Amino acid sequence: MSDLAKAIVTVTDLVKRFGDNAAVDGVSFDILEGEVFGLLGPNGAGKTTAISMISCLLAPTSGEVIVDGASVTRDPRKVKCALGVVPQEIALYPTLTALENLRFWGRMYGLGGRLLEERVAEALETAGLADRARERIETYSGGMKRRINIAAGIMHHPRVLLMDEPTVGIDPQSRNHILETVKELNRRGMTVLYTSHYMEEVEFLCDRVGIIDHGKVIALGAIDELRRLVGDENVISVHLSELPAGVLDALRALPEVDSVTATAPADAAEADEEGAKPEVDETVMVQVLSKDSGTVIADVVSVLGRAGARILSVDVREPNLESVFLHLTGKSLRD
Amino acid sequence: MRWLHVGIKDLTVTVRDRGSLAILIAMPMILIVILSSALGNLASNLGKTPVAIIDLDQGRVGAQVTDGFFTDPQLTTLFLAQRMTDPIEARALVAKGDLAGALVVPADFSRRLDTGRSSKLTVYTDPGRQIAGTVFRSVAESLSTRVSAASIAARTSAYYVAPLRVRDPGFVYGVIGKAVQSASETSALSAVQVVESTAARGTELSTLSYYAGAMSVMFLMFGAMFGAFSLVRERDNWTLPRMLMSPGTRWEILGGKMFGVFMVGGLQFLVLFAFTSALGVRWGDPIAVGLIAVSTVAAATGLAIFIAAVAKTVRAVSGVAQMLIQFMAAIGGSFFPVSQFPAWMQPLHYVSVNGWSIDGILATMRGASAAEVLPNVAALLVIAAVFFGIGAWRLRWE
Repeated sequence: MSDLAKAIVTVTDLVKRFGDNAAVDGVSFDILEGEVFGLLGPNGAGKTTAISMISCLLAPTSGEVIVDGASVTRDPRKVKCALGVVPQEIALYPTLTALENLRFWGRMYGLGGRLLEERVAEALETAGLADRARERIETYSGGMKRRINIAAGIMHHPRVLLMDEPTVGIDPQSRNHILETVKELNRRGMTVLYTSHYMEEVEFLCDRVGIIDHGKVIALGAIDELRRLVGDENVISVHLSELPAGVLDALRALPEVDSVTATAPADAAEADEEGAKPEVDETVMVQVLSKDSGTVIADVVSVLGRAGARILSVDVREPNLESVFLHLTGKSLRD
Repeated sequence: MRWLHVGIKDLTVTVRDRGSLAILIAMPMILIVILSSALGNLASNLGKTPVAIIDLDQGRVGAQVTDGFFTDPQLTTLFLAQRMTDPIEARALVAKGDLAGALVVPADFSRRLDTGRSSKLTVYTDPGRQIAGTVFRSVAESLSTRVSAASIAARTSAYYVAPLRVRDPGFVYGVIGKAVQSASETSALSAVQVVESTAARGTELSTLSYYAGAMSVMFLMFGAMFGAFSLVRERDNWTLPRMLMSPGTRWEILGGKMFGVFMVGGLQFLVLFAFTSALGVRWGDPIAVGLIAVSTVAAATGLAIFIAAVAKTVRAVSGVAQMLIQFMAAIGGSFFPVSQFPAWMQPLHYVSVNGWSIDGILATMRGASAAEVLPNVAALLVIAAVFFGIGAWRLRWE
């Protein structure tokens, strides 16, 4: 991607209010042509509402969005033609086959005849499901449904692809396939807006990232630029069997400790789309942000030991988007 | 043409859903067979026979003919009589099947009989209810015979008693009274003639025919419920928002959803029409039936949008739809013929899709032409427009 790339999406002071609550509160950013732009934030941060306004589904309370030179409020039809949307939900018809679903969504974007059939075949190839095209969506696994969900959004070769949490609740293999697909689409020239609360995915895919929380963009830039916000702070992650009372305050009182949070472990809370419910995990992940992790780690372990906590594992990481978010908000992305 | 693709997609989704097909197609078939077998010909003869009495005479003799329908224990057991003043309106109600018969006493009835001239009572009967019509006509003839005899006896007695110059009025009335009593017990006199006129054309409707129409209409309304389900589910499952994010307009998408409901309803009616025709139901003039069917399906389509707008969730759709559909079915005659309702209740069937539609279908089964069912078609289209207008105005898209 060239540094001189022009903005294909410009979001300016975008606001969406539902009653007194501002779901999106003065968001501004540009997406440059040919880049993968990430919008990273916890659930409820305003990512989906922002995407809904960019895709003309919701009218902004105020502010402006320009996509490929057209305004979402004044020329929504042109905006919709330029966009492909992959919603967070699997927006497909379960009793129709993948082929029938793709044909329907292609027709909704004005495709027909031979071109439609070519694009359907191409989308199935991209999804890696050409051999199962005539099976009903209801017979697919969660990951396969997600892949067809993406295929339905790219058939008309949009200039910009909006992907809202496209990997929620699927197995690692399907997740990898989807991430590689996004990379490949971007290589073919498609600009991508990718929202997620998975820091690893955003770091893997995106050229630039906007971090969003409580409806506001709190940091924006290339991933290295964002990491520099944290400076040389490392994240000490301690996995505990349970959280003794008062231990967080004791950790915060340690010298050289900048912030301390406690959350449920990463994927324990999320059920997958196969209907399998995760086992109840009562363990706790304590994250300590410190510039001197080498010294602090011993103090942290000592404090936890005195408090009677059973330590399951300890991990020290260099700054990443998770630590950026922790640094900026004092909480985890999964809070 | 996005509306066409949305409609075809909805039709495909519905046809693939076995549960929906069972309710929309199999259930009405089963109910038509069960109800018609269980009730036989009872439906047209259940309870009291509704008749209208129009006494234009308002005189003594007219009252003798008509009062019995309201006071005589035997007649009130047989007939549910209502007084009306307009013979044309009464005839129209008989023609529609709302009344089994009507008796009209002419304006000069008392005067003609008192002056020794003959008169005529007019009876309208519904050929679709031959048994009830025959009983009503017989009762009218019986009453007319008694009135004739009494009238002639009274005049004859007065004629013979007058020259005797008897001064005791009690004696005179005694003689006349005995003469009247004696004359009333004969049936050979005919000062009053009963003229019968059939108010409607066509043949007697079987219970199977009745429920073929009534159940088809009721289950077309259930089709509306599934249409509302589809809209709300698409909203919840994000396929509706995804459509809204495509270049299609809201009107194209709503038009497509309506087209889908309309096609499902049309298909449903065609299957039920074919099934009941195979059982021997004669629906009548195909154009008239087609007009009623299309306007009924249009009303069901409007109802689907209305329900989806009023109810925000799938559960709410189920509750609102069942309440509306069962209310309209009950007052509109889907369960029992409207003619079996109390007189005050019968006009209520016009506030339902079922009432207008079943009226129209029964009329076509009795031989009505397309022109004759146009008022029903118009009423159904107005209901469709009202439902659609409110629904489109109140529909929540996101």
